[in-house]
Order: sequence, then structure tokens, then C-alpha cells
Amino acid sequence: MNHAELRQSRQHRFRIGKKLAGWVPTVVLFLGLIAVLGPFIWMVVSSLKTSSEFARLPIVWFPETPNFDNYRKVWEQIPLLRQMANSFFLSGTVTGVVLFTSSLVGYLFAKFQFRLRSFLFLFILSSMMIPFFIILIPLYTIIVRFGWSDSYWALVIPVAFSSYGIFWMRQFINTIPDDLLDNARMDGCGEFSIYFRIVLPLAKPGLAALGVFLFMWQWGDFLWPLVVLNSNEKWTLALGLTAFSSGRWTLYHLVVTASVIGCIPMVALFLLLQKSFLEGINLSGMKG
Amino acid sequence: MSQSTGVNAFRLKKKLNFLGVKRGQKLFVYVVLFTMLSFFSVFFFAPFFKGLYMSFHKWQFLGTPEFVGLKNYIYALTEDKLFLESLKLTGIYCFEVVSLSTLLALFVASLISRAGKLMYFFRITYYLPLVIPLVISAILWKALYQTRFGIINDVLMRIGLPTQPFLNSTSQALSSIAVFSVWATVGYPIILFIAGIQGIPQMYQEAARIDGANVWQIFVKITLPLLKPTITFVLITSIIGSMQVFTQIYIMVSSQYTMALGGPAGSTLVTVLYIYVKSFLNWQMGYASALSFILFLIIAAFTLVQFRALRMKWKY
Repeated sequence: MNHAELRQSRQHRFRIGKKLAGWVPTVVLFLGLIAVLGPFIWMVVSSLKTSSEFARLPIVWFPETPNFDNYRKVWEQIPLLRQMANSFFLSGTVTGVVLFTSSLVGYLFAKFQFRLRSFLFLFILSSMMIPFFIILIPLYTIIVRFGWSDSYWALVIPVAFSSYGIFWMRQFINTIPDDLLDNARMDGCGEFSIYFRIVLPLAKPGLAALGVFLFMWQWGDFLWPLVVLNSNEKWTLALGLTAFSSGRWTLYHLVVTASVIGCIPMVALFLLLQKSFLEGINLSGMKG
Repeated sequence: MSQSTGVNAFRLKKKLNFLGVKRGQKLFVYVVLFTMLSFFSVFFFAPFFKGLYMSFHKWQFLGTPEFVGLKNYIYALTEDKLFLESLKLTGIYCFEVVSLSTLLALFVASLISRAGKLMYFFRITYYLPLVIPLVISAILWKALYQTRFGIINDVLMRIGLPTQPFLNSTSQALSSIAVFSVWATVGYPIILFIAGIQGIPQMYQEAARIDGANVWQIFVKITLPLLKPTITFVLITSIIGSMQVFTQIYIMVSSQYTMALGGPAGSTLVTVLYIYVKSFLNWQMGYASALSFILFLIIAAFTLVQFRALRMKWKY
């Protein structure tokens, strides 16, 4: 082997090594995915087992013949449809209301000049620092005084204005050029109609990203609904599933099946709107 | 005469418009501001100050509050062993979750940002656990952790390791929940770190590579220092978040039916859960408020540190 050949083979080996090194992160990430997605896969697969397969030891990993019996039983035993409808109604309402108020107040703080503006804005932001558990008890007593215990008013009205949403929308509406608004004013547009006709349409991407988050948070909200709602027919999915699982842990094939059903809407929403999601996260994180 | 009424009317108008809003915008500005401020006052600042007021009283929800001064606070910090224990447990849990999830997120994010075409795919999949309501994923992991029928013990058995009691043991329950919480939330810092890493100009890494630095050296000497603002943000927000842990513990090891909250044997009775017990099971609203304010002060201290840390500017 002469010198040139030796060098070539060494370079060749180096290149292969480099290529392999380039694959290492991908392989590690795929291995990590087992831990990330494993629980989901186990949950979906398990929901197709029979109850006897559930009770067998050692554990049966895959059902012999997948069957949808558990889904039928869950449907009969939990008012799942009702709870799902409640959750959709509640999350939808809260999201709609908060998007409206956040963009309105966001517009106010982004595009109007008035005294105490930055002070008032900081005042609102300061409420973000106060954790929810600290106002939980007094807020509950206020709700009782209003006669709203066990009613949806208690879940919608107190959260109608969100400091987080206001902050988010102000940042977004800041990017709308002032000339556009001034032209509309020149044409005799009132402030409310400028908001509806110009600001809202232009703020759509910001609203979409914020909306996805609001819906997701509301869907999974637990502590406050747990404190407020007493009657079963008003329960959200999150409450219903918890009650079902803690009461009947022996029937956990049904618990697992119910969990699958509870996951479906959110996973679907996430996969449909993944772009807004990721944009939203980056927006929210970089604000710090 | 007519002149002076004109002046008075002008003064009155000026008085009413004390925020100095431009003509034509007054209606909008005052209506929106008034509505917003009244909502925040009624549902946020009023409860906050009412809670502060209640924390100096003895109050069993029904009946009139009785003023006790600082007694609630003094009792909590000197005699209430369960509360002090709950602070300790919260601290342990917080340390486990924050250190584990930050390190893991840094590692995974640096891998994902080198994954090329698959980057988008990995970002989506690693974020997936955050989409599931915490309630559901906690129920799911409770099933995974089952001693005899749980899949984790089954895997341990198959690879020849001893099975673990997980949620049924006083020494493992809290850490098991911490591991679950890392799984459930680590996607968020991962996404933030990826964005941070991509914000670092490529030329720094190129220059280091040309100078002969290896991957590890580049990570420690260049990526890590430049990620400092993101790391600070992640650290502080996850500290604040995990000090308020409630839902997963309530679901995985508590049962309201048997009134056994924070089981096994109170080994997972973290502070917010203890506040919940005191207020909604024992109806000691005044005392529970005092406990809330103690925890709030601790969290506020961390928040202040965050503001301090983030006010400093990092330049690339």
C-alpha cells in the first residue's frame, strides 16, 4: 500500500465515522421516543384488551383479538358524551370570551396614549405573579356570595380577563402599522368599529396561537372546577374521569379506555394546529 | 357670566378626563379600562386582599371571623409539624423535577437541533405529553406504576431487576410522581431550548470547530453560556410551577372518598395539597389563608430573583 492509498482509506474511514456520528442523535432521539410515546401506545393497545386479559399475570402486552367491548361499557357506565359536551362548551366559551377581551385591552395598551398607561399595564401584569391557590379560598367565598357556586358562571366570569392574554395580544397588535388605523379614523371610523374591522382581522394569527393555548388549559383545568362544581351533570371530562378512576380502580380496563377517549380531542386539535402551537410556545417563551 | 360657565365646563371636562385621553377616543378608552379594572378588582385583587385579611383571623367558613393577629403564622411556622414537613416535601419534589427536567431538556434539545430534516417531527412528538390534560396522564401513569399489574414492573421483571412498590411506598411515591411530572412537562423547555440554540449565530460554532473544538467543548464553552437567558427563564418558571404541584398528587396517591390525601402515610403531602386539606376538608379558612401567604412569599422571592436575572442583558 503506497502512501496515497493509505491516506485515501484513512479519509474514507473518517468519512464513515463522521456519517455514523451524524446518525447518533437521531438514534438516541428515537430511543427517547419510546419513553415519550410508550405510555400512549400502551394505553391505546390496552383499551382493546378484554377484562380477563387485564387481570392475567404475567401481563398480556397485546390482546389476542382486539375488541371494542371496553368502549361500549365505558359509554354505558360514564355519561361521557355529556361530560365531553360540557368540556367543549366551557372551553369554547372561555376561549371566545378571553380572546375578545384580550384583543380589546391589548389594542388599548398597544395603540392609545393616555396618562398612567404603563403603570396600569404593570398593575395588570403584576396579577400574573400571584399564584391561583392564594386567591382560591377568598374567590370561592365571593362566588358563594354571588350565588354562583355549582354554576358555570363561576368558571367563566372570573377568568373573563386574562393578564397573560392581554400581554400576548398587546405584543401582537403593536406590530400593526399606525397609518392603517389613522386612515380609518380620517374616514370617520369610530374606535369600536376600527377594532372590529381592522384590528381583529389583522390580529388573527396571534389570536389563533393564543386560542389554542386557552382551549387546552381550560380543557385540562382541574382545581377550580373541582372546588366549584358539585352536581355530576355539570362535571367536565377532567372531573368525571378523576371521579370514575378513583372510585373504581379495580375496573381499570375501563379507566384506561375512558382516558383514551379523553385524549382524542386534544391530540386531534394539536395535530391539526401544530404550527400555531409551536409558534405560540416560542412567542410565550421568549417574552420572559 | 357666560364666559365663566364656559371656563367651568372646560375645567369639569378636564377633570373628568383625568387620563388625558385624546378627543374622540374617550368613550373607547374609558369603557374598556373601566370594565377591565372592575373585573380585575373583583376577581383578583379583592380575593387577594380578602385572603390577606382572613389570614389574620380564625374562621370556620360559617360564622364570623375572629381576629387572632399573627397567631396563624406563628403556629404554622413553629408548631405545625405537618406544614413544615409539607414545605420540605415540596422542596424535595421541586429540586428533583427542576434539575431532572432542565438537564434532560438541554440534552434532548441539543440533539434535536442537530437532527436536520427530522427536527420538526421530533419537536412535535416530544411535545405531545403536554397536550394531554394532566388529569388524564396522571391516571395513565397511576396505571403504569401499579405494583402487580403495572407495565413498568413487568419490564423490570423481564430484564431481571427487582420490582418496585412505586406509589405504594413512602420512600418512592414522591419521586415516582416527580418522574411522571418530568415526562409530562419536559416538552416545554425542550422547545424553548431549541429556539434558543437556533438563535445562536452559526459562525461562533463554525469558528470553534475550525479551531479544533469537539462537540462537547462547543456545547460547554459556546452553547451553554449563550443559552443562559433561556436557562434562567426555564429554571425559574419550573421552580415556581413545581412549588404549586397539586393535581398529579391529588390524583395519583390521594382519595377524597377515604379522606386519605397525600398518601401513603402523608409522604406526598405537599404544601398546596395541605392547604386544600385545611380549607376544604377541615374548613379552617383563616389558617389555610395564612399557609397560602407563607407559600406565596417563598414563590414571590423566586419571582423577584427571576426579574433580577432577566433584567440583565445578555449580548451575543
